[in-house]
Amino acid sequence: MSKKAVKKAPSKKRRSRRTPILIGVGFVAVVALVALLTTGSNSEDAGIKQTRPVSIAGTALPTYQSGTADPAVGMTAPEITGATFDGTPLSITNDGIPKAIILLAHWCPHCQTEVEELTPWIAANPIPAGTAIVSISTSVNVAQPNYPPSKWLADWPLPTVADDANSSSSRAFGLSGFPFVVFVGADGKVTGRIEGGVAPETLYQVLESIAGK
Amino acid sequence: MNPAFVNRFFGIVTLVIILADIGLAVLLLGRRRSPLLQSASDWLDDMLGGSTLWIASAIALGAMVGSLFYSEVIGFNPCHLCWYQRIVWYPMVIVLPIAAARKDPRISTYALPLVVVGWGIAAYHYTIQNFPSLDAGACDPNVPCTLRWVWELGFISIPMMSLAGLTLLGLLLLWARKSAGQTHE
Repeated sequence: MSKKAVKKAPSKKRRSRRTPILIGVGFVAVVALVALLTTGSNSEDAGIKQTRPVSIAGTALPTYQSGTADPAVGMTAPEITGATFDGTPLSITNDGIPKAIILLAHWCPHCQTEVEELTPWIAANPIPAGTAIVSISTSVNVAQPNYPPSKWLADWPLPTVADDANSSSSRAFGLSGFPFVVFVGADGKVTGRIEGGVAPETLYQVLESIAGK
Repeated sequence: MNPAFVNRFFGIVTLVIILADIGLAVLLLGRRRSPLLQSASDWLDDMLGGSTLWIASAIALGAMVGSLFYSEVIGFNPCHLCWYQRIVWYPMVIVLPIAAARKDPRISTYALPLVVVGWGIAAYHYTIQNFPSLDAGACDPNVPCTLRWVWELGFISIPMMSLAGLTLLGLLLLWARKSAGQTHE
């Protein structure tokens, strides 16, 4: 074999090894550039506060455990004093009105489904007379999906307390999973808690039974 | 670092991987039936030049780095299904380069079962992200597996990235085996 032929063989081997590497590096660079050009800046919450200070009065309910008797039934529900996303004062107190308190997290797919189902239902069916439904936006996290909750709940028809950054309200009600519904009777005592989505019809039926209808 | 940029980057990479998956699968399945596909298969063999297992190693390394970047830098907490998938991916970062250095296509015998298991978990994870009611009826307040941390191009989430990557890994292992078989012929 001639010297020229011997010299050619190694460079052909190096070229074939280099090709996938060069293609890979080029690919990463192009993708990074495309990603950079197609990614906008983040100013999603338009200056609206997604969490606000809350003050909680009363004893925290024990954490709910599904499949067992709820120890919170018969306990006095904690009272929450806070505000909505836009700063309007809003309190959830034991005011003699039977109520359902719905705790929601913006990132939870089950909460998203719940809101999708309840919004038109409430628009079409008035809340049972003499009862109330309020909600609490809690467990807010800018890094998690469907942020900001104020935008997600823009069309939500129920008054909503913006929980604080520590999700204090969820702990006060013994939340174990999202969505979480706490039913409170006219006497301010917890009548039941539900973890997970609640069908709109069921929500109304329970409210009616609490109100003694 | 802006999570949106990272999500878009990995989203595009995943899209390309999905296209590569389709292409490789077509070649693997159709090369014996179609002279055109056989030529394409031969061309790809020339292009890869024996680098198939190194590419598979790079895929595994990219998956590991990506998953750690998401959890340790961006702050996305992995749920238990994420951890099961990591159990499949992370050992590949060790064994595949060894097999590549030894030019040993028999690694597919050991790695493919892991790929299949990981694929099943990723497929389930992706399913419950899209149909959360199939999982528990409520979101774990800590780290639910139904949470879509990333949602790019209308269908790409982190489990989809894993699914696409595992598919490519499996196809590359099969390709390496095929190429080795042809060499011996």
